[in-house]
Amino acid sequence: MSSAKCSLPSARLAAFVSLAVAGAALLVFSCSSDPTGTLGSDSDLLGSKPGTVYQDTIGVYADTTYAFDTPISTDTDLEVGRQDGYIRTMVLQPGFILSDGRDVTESGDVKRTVLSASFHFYTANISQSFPVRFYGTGHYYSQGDNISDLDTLMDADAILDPVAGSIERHLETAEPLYPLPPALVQDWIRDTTKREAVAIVYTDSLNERVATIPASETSDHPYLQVIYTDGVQRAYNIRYDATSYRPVAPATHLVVSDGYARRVYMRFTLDELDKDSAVHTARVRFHIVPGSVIEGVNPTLLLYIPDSTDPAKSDFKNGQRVTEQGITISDETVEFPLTNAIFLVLQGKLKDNGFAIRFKNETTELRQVELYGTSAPDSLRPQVFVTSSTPAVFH
Amino acid sequence: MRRHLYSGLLCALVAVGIAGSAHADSIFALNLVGEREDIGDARITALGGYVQTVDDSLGVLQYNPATVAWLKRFSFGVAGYTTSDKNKNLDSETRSNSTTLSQLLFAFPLYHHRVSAGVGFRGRYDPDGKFKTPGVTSEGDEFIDSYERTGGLFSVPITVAVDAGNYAKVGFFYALERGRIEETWVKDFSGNAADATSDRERVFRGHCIGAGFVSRPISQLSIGLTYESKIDYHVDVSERFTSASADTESTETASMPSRMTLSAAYRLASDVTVFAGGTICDFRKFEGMNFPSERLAEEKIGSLGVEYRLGQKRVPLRGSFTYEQLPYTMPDGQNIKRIAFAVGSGRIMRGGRGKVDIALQFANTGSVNNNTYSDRSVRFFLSITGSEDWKRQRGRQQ
Repeated sequence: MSSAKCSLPSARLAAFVSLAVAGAALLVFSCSSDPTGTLGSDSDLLGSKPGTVYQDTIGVYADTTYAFDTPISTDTDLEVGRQDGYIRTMVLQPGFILSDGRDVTESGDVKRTVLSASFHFYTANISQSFPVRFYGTGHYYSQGDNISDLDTLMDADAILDPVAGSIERHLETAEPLYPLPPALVQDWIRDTTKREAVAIVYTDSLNERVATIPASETSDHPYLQVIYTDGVQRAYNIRYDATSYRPVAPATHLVVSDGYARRVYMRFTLDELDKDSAVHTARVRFHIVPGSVIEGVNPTLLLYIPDSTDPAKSDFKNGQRVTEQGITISDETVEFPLTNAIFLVLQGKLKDNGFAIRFKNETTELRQVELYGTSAPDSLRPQVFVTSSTPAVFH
Repeated sequence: MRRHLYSGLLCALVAVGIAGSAHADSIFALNLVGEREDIGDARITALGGYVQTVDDSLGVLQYNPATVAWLKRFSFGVAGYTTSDKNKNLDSETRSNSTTLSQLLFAFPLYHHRVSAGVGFRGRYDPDGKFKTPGVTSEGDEFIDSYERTGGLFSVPITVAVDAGNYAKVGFFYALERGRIEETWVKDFSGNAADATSDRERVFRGHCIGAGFVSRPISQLSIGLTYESKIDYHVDVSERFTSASADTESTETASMPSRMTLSAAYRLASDVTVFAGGTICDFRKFEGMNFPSERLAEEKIGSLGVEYRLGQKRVPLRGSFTYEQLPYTMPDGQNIKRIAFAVGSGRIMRGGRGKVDIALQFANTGSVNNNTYSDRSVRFFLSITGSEDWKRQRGRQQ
């Protein structure tokens, strides 16, 4: 009996010692905090091996600059003149809309006879004689229309100053009235098909300067003042106005610009990449032509995949935005990350329509950057850097 | 009484839940079909593993289906273990911890204390593991290749055993063999670079039949024999990549060779019993998974254990030694050996209707000098078994 009493504590002790040893060992091993190592098994026994990483520089081709005759029509100032390599031409489209919303042809004015007519607009930034001509463009423009044929205006298209008897005019700050031939304005009032926009063109090819005129969005907006022979005087607001920017000289490099909207279009030799590859990084790098940057207020470039490869189609102007990148005058290069875009193009989830670059918020201000294209020396050509990897191999 | 049974069932469910996050993480689990899971409960493990001839009315969790014949009441058992692995090669070492549910069984009498049946779950091979390898591109960009393998092969055996007295207990089982092994490579670049993943999932479906026999020719000696048939797996393979254009679907087959197990127990004295067991599974007959056939080997396991009951309470103290040869060799042909020592104990509860067993196993697999890698592991085993007499309970309610 006594031996049984003695053995019971010892048995319990042995059991608890065993349990304690087990618990302590587990605790010690569980609490270990060795850093994560790189220990791996033999790839042959493993039955698989990771994919191979490639870093390639793939080519760019079919890089082209496409221009769109889209004027800036939303700015609060219109511009006339020549500066920074761009000719500015102001375009005014008289509207002949009465305050009640009717066209003038539906009013009694259409039976009246025009005695005199003048454009009225204020001008700023003029310190000396500022020679211009007014041209009839032969087109009626509305908001969003492209401006065309400004390069082919001829003397015969110029609108005579009936007071001075000449087509040569000067912008004035003191007297903001610019006479127009009464017969011309009479035709505009009576025949809607004869209405046309007037282009105000700077004619001094020696001096670079720009005059600004408050646009129709302002309280000092331009208008057409008409005095009829019966003494009635009307002021017809300018319904549409815009500044058209045209480069003085054609560009020799790729150009992205706003004002005179130009976009760069290019394609990459994506067939050099395995479509089964994963793309880890991809970016395209352009070298900027020194001194070519006109910053404007928001010099941000936007790269996108156009919905069409044909710049003549409106779909070319739209597409899948990829990325945007700001530039400054001092930049020597600009890079656009393309990782997801190239991967998704390889996967067929995005159209393989190439890539286009434009300014963000296009047709808002004059901006420009020139980029070296594929015709430039090797060190300056655009390049696409891609880091990709093949899928893992499972045996 | 039933409340205790429900508690046991709850414990089993908790164990299953823990096992959901299982991760073996031995470097040797990465090869072939993975690391062989320790079968049996903590008592069996403490006695060496494949001993399988422990005449125990609560010995639910044994490999030999004939042992189900000992179960005369509704019985259940759950066993699992938690492991701390220290993997090592010449350059580095890593440590990882994991938890595994190894076995679960419900058994019940079918006919007059002569025929019993059981259904359960038994883990077979655990392929979990992971590692990382650094890399650098031609331009000097750094990246990491991360590999991870998860899943496992398991069995759902349905067992029927007949008790023909001390001279013969015979059991048969039919098992649904299932499994899934998923491998993932991740190429991880730092910074804003996109990562890439490659994933292969293999889903295994098969079945197996087997039989076991236990006999006690003399009162001190029990011997057991178990046979498990070859398992033919149908394997659905799907590969998924970051680039979906490379995705594939296919089917394969795999064949796990049959296994033979022999075990014996001999009572030296009233307080001391020794156990011996061994099993052979000739993996040279393994087919599938594109594993190099010249590197397959015979899986051999042998163990020796002893159980000593201490004091009037007869507290069991157990110890064992196990030798194992893994079923494959290293690329240069070296065999891989595993040596394990285990100690354990247990406690009877509820007047013999329940028990808890624990075991602690120290093992070493492979060696850095001979096999490039080695794994030193410490495993803590816990098993809970219980039994209930359903008929008596129903009678009381009535």
